[in-house]
Amino acid sequence: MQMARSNEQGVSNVELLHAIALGSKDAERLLVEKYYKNLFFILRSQTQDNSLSEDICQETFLKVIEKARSKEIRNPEAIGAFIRQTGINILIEHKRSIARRKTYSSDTIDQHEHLKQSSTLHHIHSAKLVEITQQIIRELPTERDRTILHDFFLQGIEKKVICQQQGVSAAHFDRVLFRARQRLKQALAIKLNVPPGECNLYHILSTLLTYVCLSQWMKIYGSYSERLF
Amino acid sequence: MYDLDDPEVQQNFAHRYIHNLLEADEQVAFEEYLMEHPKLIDAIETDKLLARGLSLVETTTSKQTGIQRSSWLGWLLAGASVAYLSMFAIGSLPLQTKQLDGIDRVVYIDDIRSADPVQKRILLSSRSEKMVLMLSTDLGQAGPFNIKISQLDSGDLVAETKNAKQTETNDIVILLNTELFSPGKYQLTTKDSSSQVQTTTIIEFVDEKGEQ
Repeated sequence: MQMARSNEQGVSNVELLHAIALGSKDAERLLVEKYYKNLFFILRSQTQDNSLSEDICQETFLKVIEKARSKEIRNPEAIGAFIRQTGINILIEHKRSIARRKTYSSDTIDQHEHLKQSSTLHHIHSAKLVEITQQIIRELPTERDRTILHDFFLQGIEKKVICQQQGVSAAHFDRVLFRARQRLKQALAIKLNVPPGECNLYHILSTLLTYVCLSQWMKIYGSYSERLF
Repeated sequence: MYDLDDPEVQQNFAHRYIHNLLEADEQVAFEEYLMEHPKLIDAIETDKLLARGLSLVETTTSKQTGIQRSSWLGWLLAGASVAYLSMFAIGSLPLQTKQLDGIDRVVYIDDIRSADPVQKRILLSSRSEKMVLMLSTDLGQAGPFNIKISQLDSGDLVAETKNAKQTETNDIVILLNTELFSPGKYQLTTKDSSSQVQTTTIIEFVDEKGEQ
């Protein structure tokens, strides 16, 4: 609990790994909370496979925490890069041997709850998304702005090229994208019942994530408390 | 090596990351940066969602607006065409003579993940239409999927497709011709080959008279 409060004020990776080496379960939990979503996003981008990404995330954190416990992580400042590389290595290994599925496990490490924060967006139903997007398109003042969105998001054309082709400034381009993103976030905030002032998508998803984490950890601490009292 | 704290550089990298255009060393640098900057992940997710929304909108409106189809849509339609053609592997199905020159209608069925059968009403117009069924699958379902559509009462198989794969947004795309259906209830069964999980959706086709 002490670690949780400290982390809100910004605990360094060095302190986090030091605490893990001393056996702090809080620190292990914080490490997973801090990096799980990021690793999952990267792996999913590479695999397009949610369940495989989750498996590899789980395996990655088991390995990383074991190494942290035994003080084998040489550069704590770069723990993020280390976690990513561990995940990528496991993915490469998996690709080399598709038949060999996840076999790594340890009964001495808590099986952390899968933090599906980044995948929450994939639950947005297609019909609803069409409705929101159509609204966004309708609100664009000119055909040129609609072309900008289309070329950038669907054709993958770079900003510089689009600005040249459409004869618009970088500032105008940014404004079109900013408005579209803001409207999408606002629409999602309404859908997810988040107060309008907190329409940052990251905040929305973080709120969901915190809820998932707390639910999981309440279960763990709840059973622990029952044994104590 | 790269100044990823610069918003312009960041936007450029994020855009090229989404479209798989980064060089290997750029990708490593960007992903290491992402590990420490989850808010950027949020921005990328927003852009991906916008791209998905625009793709879906384009699917439904490309005939009217004349917008050039994206590569994603091309892929989608190619996949749909395969599914469409595989439907006609069943000998009892009526042959389709028209070319695949466009889609008349897109119907979203978002709840095949549900354990309980859900019911979806689809209006049959008097003319033959090409209809895309978009089935949203559960995140845990890896596929490929075997899909059957049969009459609810008689159990007669109307259409079938095997080894249908999901799009990157976890949708299965099926192209059907409404000529295959008459007013009444149909059972759409989706079986995940990997998990063997089977889900059922009831689709009710109604004609304009029935709708009123």
